[in-house]
Amino acid sequence: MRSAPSPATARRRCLAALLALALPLAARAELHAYITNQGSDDVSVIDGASLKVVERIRVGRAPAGVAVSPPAGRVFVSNPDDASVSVIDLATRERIASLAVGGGPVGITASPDGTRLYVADWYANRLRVFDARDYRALAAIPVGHAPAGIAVSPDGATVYVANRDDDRVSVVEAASLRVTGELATGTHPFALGMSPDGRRLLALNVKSDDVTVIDAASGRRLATLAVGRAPYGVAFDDAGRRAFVTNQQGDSVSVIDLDALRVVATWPTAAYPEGIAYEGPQETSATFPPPEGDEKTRGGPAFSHGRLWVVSWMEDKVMILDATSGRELAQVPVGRNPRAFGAFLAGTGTRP
Amino acid sequence: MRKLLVILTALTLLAVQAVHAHGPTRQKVSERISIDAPPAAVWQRIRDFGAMQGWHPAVESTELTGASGEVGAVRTLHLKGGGAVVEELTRYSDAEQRFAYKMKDPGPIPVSNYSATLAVAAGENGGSVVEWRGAFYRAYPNNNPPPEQNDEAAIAAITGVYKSGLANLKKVMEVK
Repeated sequence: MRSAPSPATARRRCLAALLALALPLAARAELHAYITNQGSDDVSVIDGASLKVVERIRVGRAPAGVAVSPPAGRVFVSNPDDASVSVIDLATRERIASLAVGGGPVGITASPDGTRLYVADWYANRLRVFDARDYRALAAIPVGHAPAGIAVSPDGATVYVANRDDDRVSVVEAASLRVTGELATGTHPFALGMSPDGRRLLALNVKSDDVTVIDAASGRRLATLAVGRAPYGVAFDDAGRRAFVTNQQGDSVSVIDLDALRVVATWPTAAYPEGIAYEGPQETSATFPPPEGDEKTRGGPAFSHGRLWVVSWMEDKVMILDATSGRELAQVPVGRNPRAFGAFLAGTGTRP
Repeated sequence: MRKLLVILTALTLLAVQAVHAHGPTRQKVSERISIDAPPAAVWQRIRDFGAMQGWHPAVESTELTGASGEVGAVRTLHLKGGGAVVEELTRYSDAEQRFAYKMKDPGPIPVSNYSATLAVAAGENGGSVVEWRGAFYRAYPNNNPPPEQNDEAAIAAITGVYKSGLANLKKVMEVK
């Protein structure tokens, strides 16, 4: 039987409940996470407000990559074991299509306007391009060896693909669907991330255990930052001031200050962290659980801190961390061997 | 004409196989056991990277290069019945009572790219909980692996290593 809460906790909960009535419901109520479970061939859908799994959607075999696209109204999942992409409708949370794409689809990303789907074929060394609405194959662009992570500029004009075995990123012009250049990285770049303002491209090098920071406009390497072992996933805060990198073998998250170009913190996580996403601050204190350190403006609503969603492949769960302190706020059990490689958060307070 | 048909069929089959080629997916095994002995005592028994034969029934002897407890130390485990496994220490903490390592040569064990963590935590009533967790791929890197080198064989082998090791550790620690 649960023991009664302390008076302080009871007061806090009472206040939170009153505030919840008084203020608009958190945008968090519209937030959902789509976690690909490579070991159970399904996607766990987590509700952002309750932090409960509200749905498990059957997809193809050994799902890994995920691309949530609110403009397309869809979630795209790559299934490397049966060479397919599953399409989930965001409104109904049903699988509405299965595309046979061939080869080894792993990295997957939608264009910012939701009209195109980019899939990196790990075995055929191609960047496959599809119409995100009617799934027509538009192109199969030869890139480097073992293409993995994909990033797209905010204006959709440039697509970047990490060629893991070449230690280089291919730069693709979206309009012409041609490779226009290559950028050098560290050893074995796997995941790529683009800052929200489109200024910085980050390549995560799983063998040299560092992050290559590239100036997107010039292609110049700005810095190589040592992080933990086997950096696997990256997320940015809304302002693009900080990047958060999961260190798969280091069981930690490295926090990068993008202005100073330094690692400013390393936070412990559950074992084998992979997919990571940032959820922006919310406008009500009726959040779950009530966060510490709310900044209250005079007479105005409270703002929570942003949160990080970190997928633990080893422990079959998602950790929710306070994005300011790294403190663990909650855990959500999901399916087997979760990866969530890509953009997996949908809803207000996040970028597509 | 018939020869052409045969060639075309063969090429088509090859193409189909290439199109549906898929490599192995990373697997994991996680085993834990409760031991009626204090964590410090259990840690003392398993912390020496070069003395696995002191608690694991499958290990005959160990050669250690480098100092136990130092990241980078390499051990060769000579298995009873033949074969040797080579492993490198990647993390070590006396404070946290855990260490991590990776295989450089799996020897007879049907895995590849194997890494693992062994940790002791406080259990109930002053006892301990030991957790052994590993991540790996099957030994066969391509499509259609033979049964003795497929995912199931890899998982079964590692599960066996962990279960037998932890069971024996419990036995030796609980001897009164």
